[in-house]
Amino acid sequence: MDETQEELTDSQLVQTCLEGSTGAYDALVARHYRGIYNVIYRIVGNAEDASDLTQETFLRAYSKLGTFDTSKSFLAWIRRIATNQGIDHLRRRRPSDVSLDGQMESGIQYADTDLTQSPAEAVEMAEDSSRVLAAVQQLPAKQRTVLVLRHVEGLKLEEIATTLNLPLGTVKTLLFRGRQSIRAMVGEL
Amino acid sequence: MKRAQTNCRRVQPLLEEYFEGTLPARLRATVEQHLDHCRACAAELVQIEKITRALAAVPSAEPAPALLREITARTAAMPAPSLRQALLAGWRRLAVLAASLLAALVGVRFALIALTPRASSAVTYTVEGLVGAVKFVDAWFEALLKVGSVLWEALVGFAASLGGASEAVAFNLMVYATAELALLVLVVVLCERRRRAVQSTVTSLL
Repeated sequence: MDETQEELTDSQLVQTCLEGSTGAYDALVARHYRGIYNVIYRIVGNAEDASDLTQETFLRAYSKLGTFDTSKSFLAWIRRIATNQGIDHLRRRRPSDVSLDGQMESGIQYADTDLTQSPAEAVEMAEDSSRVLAAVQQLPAKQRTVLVLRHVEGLKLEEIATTLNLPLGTVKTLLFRGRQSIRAMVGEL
Repeated sequence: MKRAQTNCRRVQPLLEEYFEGTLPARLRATVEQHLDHCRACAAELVQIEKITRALAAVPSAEPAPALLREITARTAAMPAPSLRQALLAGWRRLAVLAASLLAALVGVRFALIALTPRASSAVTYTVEGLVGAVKFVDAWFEALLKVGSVLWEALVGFAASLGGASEAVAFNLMVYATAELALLVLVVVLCERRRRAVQSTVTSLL
């Protein structure tokens, strides 16, 4: 990404891309591919599938870039494409395929770890996270997606409703049911 | 004791919304009062908080280093998106809108034809039916005017928010707005003509 493009907003990069700049879309990909990969990975629970779906998400967005409304958020738009890809993938996949393959093997980065925690507390938190994440992988696709967007991505309920094109009440119901199912699965934390 | 259990049954379904901060103030106060003296419900709330904290602490995953290269290589092999695509998308939306409006117009026309007395069977239609038809067209006419004014205001607002957009997009917007307005005027004129025709039939029958 060159310096000029680094200073442009997402919408300006889309506009530049539509006006024929070949590097503008690469700059958008470089800016967002990690975040989109993480959203998809949390939904599908598999690194290889997450990589494939991240590619498909950016290719689909590129082919439809002309239809993107530059007065709106590019990230929200591409996140919607990504979550739809994740949900479709889960619906196609058999339940027995569900796994948390690389979670423990691929170099975990506890980015949000509280530095004031003692090592014992940090280990306990990591264990709780693994148990909860394993339970999340057992949830139906939409409950799982809502939980990931709310608690891992930190989106507001209204943003989730927009991203998934669902009524706010449905988002609340999915979130509450998802958390109740997790509580039933993991027991006391 | 029994009263406390009853309260627990009322409060526990509200705990999730309480935690999200989406409860109305009155219910929030009720839950807070209950939590002050109920250990079981307070423990439930702690569990919700712990699950949320555990999810928030989920590690971020690092994609394979080749992923970025693969995406950019694949997009480079695709046809580039362009403003032309954006313009076509705009026209496609306009075509859908026009088709919807025309379908509504055709529907109303057929409804009016069915309600308008023909020379051979005038006696089979009541004056009340015609009056109803006139009222229906009037209501439709007014609704159209309202939709037109809302659309127009939305377009004006959108145009104002497009401060830094390129001329091509602004031009597209103007063409879009003009075409939409022309279509609305056409629909309104046709409606008004039909309304007058039915009105004159009613007047002659009265």
